[in-house]
Amino acid sequence: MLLSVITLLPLAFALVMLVLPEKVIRPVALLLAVVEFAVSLLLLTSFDKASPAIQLVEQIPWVPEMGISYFLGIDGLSLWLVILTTFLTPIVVLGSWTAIDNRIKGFHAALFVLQTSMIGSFLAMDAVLFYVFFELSLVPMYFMVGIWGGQRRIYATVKFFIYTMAGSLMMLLAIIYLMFACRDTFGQMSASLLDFYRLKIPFVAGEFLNPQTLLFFAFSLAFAIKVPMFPVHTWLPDAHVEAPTPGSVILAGVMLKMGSYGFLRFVLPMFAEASQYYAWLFLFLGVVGIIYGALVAMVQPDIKKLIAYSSVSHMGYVMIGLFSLNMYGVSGSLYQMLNHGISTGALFLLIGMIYERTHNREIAKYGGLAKALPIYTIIFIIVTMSSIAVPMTNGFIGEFMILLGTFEASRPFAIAAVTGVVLGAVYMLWMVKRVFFGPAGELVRDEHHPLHDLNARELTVMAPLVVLIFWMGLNPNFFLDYSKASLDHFVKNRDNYRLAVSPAQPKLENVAVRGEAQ
Amino acid sequence: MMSNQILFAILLLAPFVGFMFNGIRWKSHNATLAGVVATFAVFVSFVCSLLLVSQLFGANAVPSVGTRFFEWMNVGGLQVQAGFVIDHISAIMVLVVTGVGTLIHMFSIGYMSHDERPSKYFAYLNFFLFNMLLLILGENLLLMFVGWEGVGLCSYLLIGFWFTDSEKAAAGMKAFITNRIGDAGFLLGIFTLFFLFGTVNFSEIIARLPAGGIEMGWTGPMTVACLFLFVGATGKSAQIPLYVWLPDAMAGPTPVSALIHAATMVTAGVYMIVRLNPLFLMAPNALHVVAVVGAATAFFAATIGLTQWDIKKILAYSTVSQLGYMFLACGVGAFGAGLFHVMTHAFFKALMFLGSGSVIHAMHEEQDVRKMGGLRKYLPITHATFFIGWLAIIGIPPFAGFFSKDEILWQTASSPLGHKALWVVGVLTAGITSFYMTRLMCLTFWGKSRVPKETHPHEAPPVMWIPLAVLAVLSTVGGWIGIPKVMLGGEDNWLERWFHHVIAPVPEALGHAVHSHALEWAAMGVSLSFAVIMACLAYTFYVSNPSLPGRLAQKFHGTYRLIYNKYFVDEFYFARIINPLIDASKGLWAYVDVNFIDRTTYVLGDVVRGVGSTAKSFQTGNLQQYAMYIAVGLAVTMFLILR
Repeated sequence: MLLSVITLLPLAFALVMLVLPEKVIRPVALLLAVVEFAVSLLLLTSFDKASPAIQLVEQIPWVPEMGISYFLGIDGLSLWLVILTTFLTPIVVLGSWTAIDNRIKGFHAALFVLQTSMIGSFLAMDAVLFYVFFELSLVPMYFMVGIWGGQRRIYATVKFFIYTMAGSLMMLLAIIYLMFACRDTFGQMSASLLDFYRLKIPFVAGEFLNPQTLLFFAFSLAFAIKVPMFPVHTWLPDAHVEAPTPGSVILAGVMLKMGSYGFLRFVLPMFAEASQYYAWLFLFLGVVGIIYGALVAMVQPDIKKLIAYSSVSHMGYVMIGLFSLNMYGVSGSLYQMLNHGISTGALFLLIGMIYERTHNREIAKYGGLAKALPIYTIIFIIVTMSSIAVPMTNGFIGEFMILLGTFEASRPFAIAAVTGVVLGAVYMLWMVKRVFFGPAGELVRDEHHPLHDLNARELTVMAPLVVLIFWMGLNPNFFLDYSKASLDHFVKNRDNYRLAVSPAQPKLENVAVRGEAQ
Repeated sequence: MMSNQILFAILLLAPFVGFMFNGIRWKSHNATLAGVVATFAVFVSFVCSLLLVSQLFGANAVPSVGTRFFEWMNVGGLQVQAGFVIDHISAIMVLVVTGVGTLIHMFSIGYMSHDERPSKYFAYLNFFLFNMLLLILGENLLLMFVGWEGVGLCSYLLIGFWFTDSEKAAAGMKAFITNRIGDAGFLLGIFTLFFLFGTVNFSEIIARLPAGGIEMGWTGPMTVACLFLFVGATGKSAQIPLYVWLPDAMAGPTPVSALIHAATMVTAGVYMIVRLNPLFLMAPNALHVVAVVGAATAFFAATIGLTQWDIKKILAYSTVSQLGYMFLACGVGAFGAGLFHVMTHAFFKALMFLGSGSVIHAMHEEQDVRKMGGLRKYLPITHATFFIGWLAIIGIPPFAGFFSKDEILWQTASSPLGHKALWVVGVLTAGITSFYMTRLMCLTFWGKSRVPKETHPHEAPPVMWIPLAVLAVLSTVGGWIGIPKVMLGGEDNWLERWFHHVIAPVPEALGHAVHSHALEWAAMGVSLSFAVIMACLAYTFYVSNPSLPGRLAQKFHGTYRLIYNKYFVDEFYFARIINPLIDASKGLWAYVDVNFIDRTTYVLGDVVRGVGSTAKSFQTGNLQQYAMYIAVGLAVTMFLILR
């Protein structure tokens, strides 16, 4: 029950939002989001971290003729991503307290629908169910950017929508193919991931037109767009710049991870040979993404766009970690997904806070902010340190493990990727220097609108993020321990990946269903 | 053992507590309270270090004391403990860092008394010390790296302490980024070692070194690892080609320059190599690189020091140059001498930086030596202590610098890893050092006063001159633990016995050291007399005949301009690396993102739309047309089946 509750509770909350009067929307939304977070923390107690099996499984037939079921389960790969989602939502609600000032009913309803769809994507163990959640997430995000976004919001939403849809359609075709492949192999259609893992999909090395390679690329394209990987990343900067702060936080914090999680859950274990064979391509694109994202971030005149491009760079790390296909790299990637959610989420929140004060994001118009807003500056610099992976912050743990894993997989790529360590410091510190240091800039000098430092609400928004930055940096074992069994199992048995179900369930009602169908 | 754990905890956490204390009340203007707390915190660390180090002495001496607090990271085969260790190598460092650190904190109480944000300053300074202790005491490469980046961060914050000045903020950024280049190399070194030995722990790495497996080539894994690590060292310890950040780092408050950019942090690279000395001895080619880079840096930085006018810049280039000596020592396999020089240099360079701080303080923030001169009269204590520092750095016996520098030069000449050419460079550098330091003394303290009339220099308060006095004593006696064998009648000095277990001798396979007392005396005589001659020369130039340097500069105009502008290295980096990179990035953004990828997707979009509208034209709603499609379709299908 727990997983369904966690998944569907926000959907119920969305309905609550629609019937409540405007006045109480914000506090109630905050309360409900915190409740959801508290419920999701129950996962930590019910989850058996020693087992790599998928746990707390729930399965109800949905379209039995085609083997589609409402099938939820959790393991070490998805646990922290779910909690990241429930953790960020109340922060976003509180963070958008004053930034979102019109149609707050619809906004919070959209936010909760989005939450359901994101959690659902992480928990779905049925490919069709996953697809539904994966696509569902586009709708509220579409409205979020389209209604509460900036000036070019329509351009940005359409671009975002079309890019993602183009990828997802490929994935849908691939899922249908796999469902039929299940019928051919096991005698019955199935959309269960557990059955997909058991399929032996023919692979011919070096040729493009064979089932595994095609399926590999179909899924990869969908997820690579979501991540986003170079060269299909260009929707991201536009979407981020136009999105309202909460939209950016959710987008960078969680939605991008749906892509990298997709690689972890679908691509790498299902198409083991193809992913091994084409690993170099993804290492290459990942490294290009790291360097390219950093270089382009460096020359952005807009702070938010700079952070958006830094996401391309950071997610490049996640990708090379995944495709290093060893324990260090994959653990590091999972960790980096969480880090990126926290540090980039925090950066977008901080940028939102200053934007609310000055209504401008142009770096050149700032300068000397450190003197005007000291507390804001301290927090910004802490988050910057996390973003550029200074030890004792979370960023270091992820980046170190990813680079270690990449080094084991391929030294040339690791050496190329290490340049990102330098470039990351370059674009962030250069921005910090121009925005915070030096003499007071145009916006900071403005006598008529003296800037106020962070208020209690804003500090409350940032505090949990700062705590996590250090907690994850100083005691990574706490977080890694929950994922270790699953990741170990993943890395060691990827060629012949099977996931057990715990507690063991009688294998699928499908057998009975099939009997009827015939 | 329990008590050791507590001692380690206090040793590490005292500065951290100081950091928190001052960090929380960072707005306070009470420099005395902030300073006293911060100084006391470091002093507590110093006492704890003494208690721990004392266990390495005496009848019940242990080879090392250590403790482990918790497991920091555990992934796959990588297990990293938050463990700390004091052995004969880290003992010297920890005492120097906490000892000299205490003195510099104390000096800062006076120096920062009029600053706007003294609490913030002391918070940073304590946080720096905390990180430095992690760097020194960490039992594995990863903890060292934590401290390594941590001190870089503090250095960044402290260089840019007066951040409203754009130039100072830029200097901080430059320091961090240049260091990061080194750090990237350090990381690669850690990776190489981890996959080679399956551990990042220092003692385990050393235990797992292949016996007699010296790598003679360039591509062996140990050589590669050592070279990667050395890249890290060139960043942190300001060696060619990454030294450029250190002179700019003088933008920070002067005690910071003394603590971070002279006495402690910048020696981290040397310390790391000494820590891993048995590994480096397995990779002689890497050591050759270390030696050559060290010697070259020592020489080049010294020549730049000849022409600078800013008192702190002169000292900064001198630091770069002295660091070069330390690497030269490591490179010829004289790790003990390298660490010895780290220690003596910490004494005399901290002394001189603090002295320059005292001068700058007295001169109301003036740093240009052309506006000084004759300050001996106004600042007798500062002058006296600075004088001792000067004797130490130019290597006059029995002051500290003589012993460590002489040891390095003799090892350079005699070690099987050494070379005559390196020795010549070393001696030349010693002469140049003697020249520019004497020049500094003349321009600042001696000769005629050029102090502007409105400035009234005054001697520093006791809280500032007491640290100077202590450091002056240390700069005098600090070298006596390493008196050359020849002077002791062939007996090993204390330092050699101290390092006996932890510093490996150069393997026999690499050749034999030269043993000749006559040669050693001769070498010593040559370098000493050269230094003295250069000092006298500088005195004539800048006191007896002050118009001479200007005329020389006129005569050798080109060379002078080249050296005065620091060989245009910064300009070269900007013109050839940084600006092209920025331009290229703008190009990438404009052409790849906006023009290529987006255009392509628009074209794809158009194609889709085109296909869609073509397809749309088939759906006319005309029944006869549909019938025709069916007929055609059937015909084609029939053809395919019956073919």
